[in-house]
Amino acid sequence: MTPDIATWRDAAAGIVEEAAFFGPQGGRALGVRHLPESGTARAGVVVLSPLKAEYMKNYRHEVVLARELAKRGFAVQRLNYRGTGHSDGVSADITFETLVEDARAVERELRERTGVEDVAFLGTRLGGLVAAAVGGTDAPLVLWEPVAEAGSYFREIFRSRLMSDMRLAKQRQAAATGRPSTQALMDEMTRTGAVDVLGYSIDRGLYESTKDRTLAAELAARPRRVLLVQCSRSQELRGAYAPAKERVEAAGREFQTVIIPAQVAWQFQDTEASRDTWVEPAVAATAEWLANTFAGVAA
Amino acid sequence: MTGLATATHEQPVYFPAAEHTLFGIFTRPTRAPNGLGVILMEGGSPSMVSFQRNRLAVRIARRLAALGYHVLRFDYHGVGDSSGRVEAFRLDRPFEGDLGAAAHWMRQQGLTRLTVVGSCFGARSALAAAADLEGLESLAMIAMSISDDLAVLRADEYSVGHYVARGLRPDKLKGLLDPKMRKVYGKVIRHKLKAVTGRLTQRLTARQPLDPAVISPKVFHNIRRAAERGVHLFFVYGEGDAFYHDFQRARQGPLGRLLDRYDDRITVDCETDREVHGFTSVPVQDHAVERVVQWVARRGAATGPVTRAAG
Repeated sequence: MTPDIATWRDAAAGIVEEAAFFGPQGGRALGVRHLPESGTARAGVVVLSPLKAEYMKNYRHEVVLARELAKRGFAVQRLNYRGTGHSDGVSADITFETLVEDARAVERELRERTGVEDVAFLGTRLGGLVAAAVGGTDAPLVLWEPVAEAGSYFREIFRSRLMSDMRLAKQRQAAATGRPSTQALMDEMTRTGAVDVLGYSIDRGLYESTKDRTLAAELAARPRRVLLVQCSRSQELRGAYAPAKERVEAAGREFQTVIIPAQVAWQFQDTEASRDTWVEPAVAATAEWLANTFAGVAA
Repeated sequence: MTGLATATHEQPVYFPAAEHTLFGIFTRPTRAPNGLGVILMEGGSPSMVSFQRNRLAVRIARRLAALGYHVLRFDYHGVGDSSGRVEAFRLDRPFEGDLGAAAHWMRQQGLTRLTVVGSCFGARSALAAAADLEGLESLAMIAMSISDDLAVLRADEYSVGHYVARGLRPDKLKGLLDPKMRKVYGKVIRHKLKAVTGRLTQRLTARQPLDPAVISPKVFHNIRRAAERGVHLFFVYGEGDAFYHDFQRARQGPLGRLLDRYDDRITVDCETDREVHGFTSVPVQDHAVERVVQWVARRGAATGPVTRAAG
């Protein structure tokens, strides 16, 4: 079946957006492309999202980024991984491998549809780990607050559930039952296959396939030019990112960091857009870095 | 029932809404179409997207498509893949224009009989449009606030003593330097004074007027107009929702009389021992999917399919 492509032209911004499902029947994923209106792009950028609560939180930021990059002459491809967003599949079927497969499929889709030769990858949080696991050593990589160690990432998710449980117990003026811990939640996930964290299912398949992965190991396998965007009050690069930086620099590649003075509570939703003060500088830094990286490539 | 819809039965769409372009996903039925259209509207948050938390809207859309419905889920302006920018979502400024544009698009597809399912801010927006929305037959409102101001509404949960103690805290005193915070504090203080004097007046006069601190006059007016027009209304709450307690309080006044007068078209459903607002647990989501699908199907069965169904 030929996919139906929905198109929107934003004449004021000089960009075009195309949305379509792609892939085989029963396993189709939604992709959205943001293109310069001129029809030719200097390079492509594949945007790889985080998952669960972080996916929702970052969704609009990725749209804003993609539109800005398209204005600057890039062909940008976004994706709802299978089992997420509007795509086919269910959460329980997501593994690190399916995320990587989807990232590779969407890269092919971008190349075929636009004809771009050079492609960069951008990933946020767990999407950063996926982005580091795809693309060759010639594909520049942008990482927004990437997960450095997957094990810590899952513990952080479980902690948000514990915080929520405590808040509910306080509201109901009831004593929390037992002594909850992240370990207890992990045990529950191993036993039942999934844990409910604030309405998001954290599944064993994703956990088992991801828990031992680190950004440093992924980048050691595919060292390339990196821009890392960190949000923190401290102006020091987080210790968790140091091994990744060392691996990239040891391979003779540039590892640039931008530290934005803001804190992001990734597991919780904001009620006002004005709290996301980090997004504008992150988009600006990313656009500038990609423009410099592909400075010699004509659109 | 035939199989659930998949992305094969779905199509991304862009449609105009005033100066904006909205993005949506249109789901076609997997069985003979009944000609009835359903529009899904999410809550109001900068990080909300039309597939909703844990893909609740995707599940509802694909279930309804298996029953013969056409379904549209869409992003508000400034949200998800739509154009525009939204700084904040205010209950007294619902997005009925976005719904109007979505309904217009559905009618262009030949779907002239519509049901809307909205949660929280989406429900408020739908209710604001309900009486004038061409072709609207029924409206489900999940965990909808009937007040206009959440900061003020939350004020009812705490005593005057609580506010005095909080007001003396250094961080709150520091907040007085911020004009925006001063405005919020002022609203809360005015509300508390009004509530206290209102309660005294009620005790003295034993009357139950429409209390704007409990139910927004606009909300009351919109419920009445929609019911008068014959739109079937379905209120869904959880016993743990603060909004449900407000709804119950309002029921003791004119809202209760309105619900009684139109009991043939207004249904109120409350989930025992649950907080539905925000769908913050998977069992609540599962239950919401079932309740919504069953109610829409019942409404569809009651009114019957249209003879010339859209393709």
